[in-house]
Amino acid sequence: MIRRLLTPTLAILLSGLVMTGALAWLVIDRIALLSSGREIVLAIRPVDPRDLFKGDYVRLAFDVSEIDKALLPDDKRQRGERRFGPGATIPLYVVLERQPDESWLPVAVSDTEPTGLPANRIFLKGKTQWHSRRRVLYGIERYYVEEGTGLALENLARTAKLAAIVAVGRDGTTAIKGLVVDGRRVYDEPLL
Amino acid sequence: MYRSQNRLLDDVARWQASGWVTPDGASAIRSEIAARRTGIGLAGVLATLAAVLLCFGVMSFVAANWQAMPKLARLAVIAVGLWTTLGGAIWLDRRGLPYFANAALLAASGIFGAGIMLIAQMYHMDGHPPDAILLWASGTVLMGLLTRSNAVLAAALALFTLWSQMESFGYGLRHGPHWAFLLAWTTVAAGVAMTRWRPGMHLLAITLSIWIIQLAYTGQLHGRAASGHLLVTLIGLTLVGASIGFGPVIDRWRQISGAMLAYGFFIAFVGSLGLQFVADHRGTLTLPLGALTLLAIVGVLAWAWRTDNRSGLWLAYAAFSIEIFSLYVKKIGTMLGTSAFFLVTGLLLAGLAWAAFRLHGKSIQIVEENR
Repeated sequence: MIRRLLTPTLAILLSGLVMTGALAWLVIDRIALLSSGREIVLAIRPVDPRDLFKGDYVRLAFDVSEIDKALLPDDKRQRGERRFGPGATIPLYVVLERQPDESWLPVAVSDTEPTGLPANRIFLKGKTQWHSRRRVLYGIERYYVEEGTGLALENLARTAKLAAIVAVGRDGTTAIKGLVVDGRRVYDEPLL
Repeated sequence: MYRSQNRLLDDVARWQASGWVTPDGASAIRSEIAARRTGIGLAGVLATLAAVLLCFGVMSFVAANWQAMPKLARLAVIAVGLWTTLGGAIWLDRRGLPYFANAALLAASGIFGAGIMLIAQMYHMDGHPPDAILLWASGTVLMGLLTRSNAVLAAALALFTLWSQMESFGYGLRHGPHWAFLLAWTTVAAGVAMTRWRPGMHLLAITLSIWIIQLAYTGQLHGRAASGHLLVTLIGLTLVGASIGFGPVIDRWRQISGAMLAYGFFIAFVGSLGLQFVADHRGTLTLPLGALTLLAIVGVLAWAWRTDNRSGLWLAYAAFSIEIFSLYVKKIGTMLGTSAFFLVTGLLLAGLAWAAFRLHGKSIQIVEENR
């Protein structure tokens, strides 16, 4: 049926175009977020495992990864959750407020997208663990490094104060833009 | 496949020697067998394995995260790799080497997957990993449908299965079944229906069987409720019943009633194991459930024997062994009770064997009398 419409050459070319388009879309989406997202700096604490597909990375934990229990939404509202048990996560939005020392701290949590926030506030899209609801993941917990160099970054984190520059999109999506060591911007992720 | 063809050739030689087949007839059968031999051969198999190795090579390259190379250069490696492989597939297809072209397409799918991982790594993306597998599988299934490549369709099915397993069990448990897998499965099935690829139908049957069996383990009770296992058993029994009741009708559409019996039986048996040994962990219903299961196994065994269904027959033998071993380990009440159960069922089966032997003897006698 399809063979009548497409020759094998056209079929291969078309699938190649779709695959290239999908990869390009992933890159463009990230570049858009990194170049136009609002910039915030979050303090980090790393540890080091390895990912099967994506090589070495440093696992990052942020100060904003721990949420005060009082801020969490009512349990009853989370009955619509799709998963349960260890490893399951529940989507939520964390509202951060800029402090006088330029750091950002969580001030509110909601399960719907916050609107009309003042300039000193921003919201991040995250997910909380089912079994430990205070722990929130933002999708920026892995910092990929060249094979075998994770430890150096770990050691640096022990001796110096490490922070991540994070780009935040309008919908609360986050991406790591660079690293700050002892208040100095030392590494900027190139867009390409 | 070759073994069965060689056996057939031996049989033809024997039949010719016995005078049952004329020399002309024998040579006609031999040429028919020779024509049936597909061209896949060792070269095609090796090319497919080479494609898999190349994919792993590209993925390891991604995992090494070579910082000396700028992001743009790394993306270019993926793009050039993808398009070179696709160009190779076109060239091989035009030269009339479809198996090598298929291997190249498989490699292209692998490079596409590596590209997704590479971008995730370059931009430190740590979202929901099954989404990356879903994107990879979607691109692969589209390629399989467009090019009608069986190898690529099989890869897409494997990726969709991995995605469904990650979605169902990798990140906590779901409250209900992963319905989206059925949609993906149907897409691959449409491709396999177009190419009429028989091994592909088995892959589809295996993955769907796994999905059906896992129905018992979704939800809050995580396999502890009898209802889930009962549902799985009933689905399996329905397939067995349909194969026995409507076999000729099904076979007129596609020759699948034999496979349907085997897969249905497998599903029903795993469901019954869940009912007997997972849901009924206290053992209150072991005796009736065990007896029913053994009865059903013997029934399927007899039917598979009658219809010359080898896979059904071997599955039933295996199920019989697993069932009696499980009953022995679990015990029916006490060790004495278990002993009585095995003795009674053993005697019943011996009686059935005797009856079958008598019937078989009688049918041979009738055939000989009619000669």
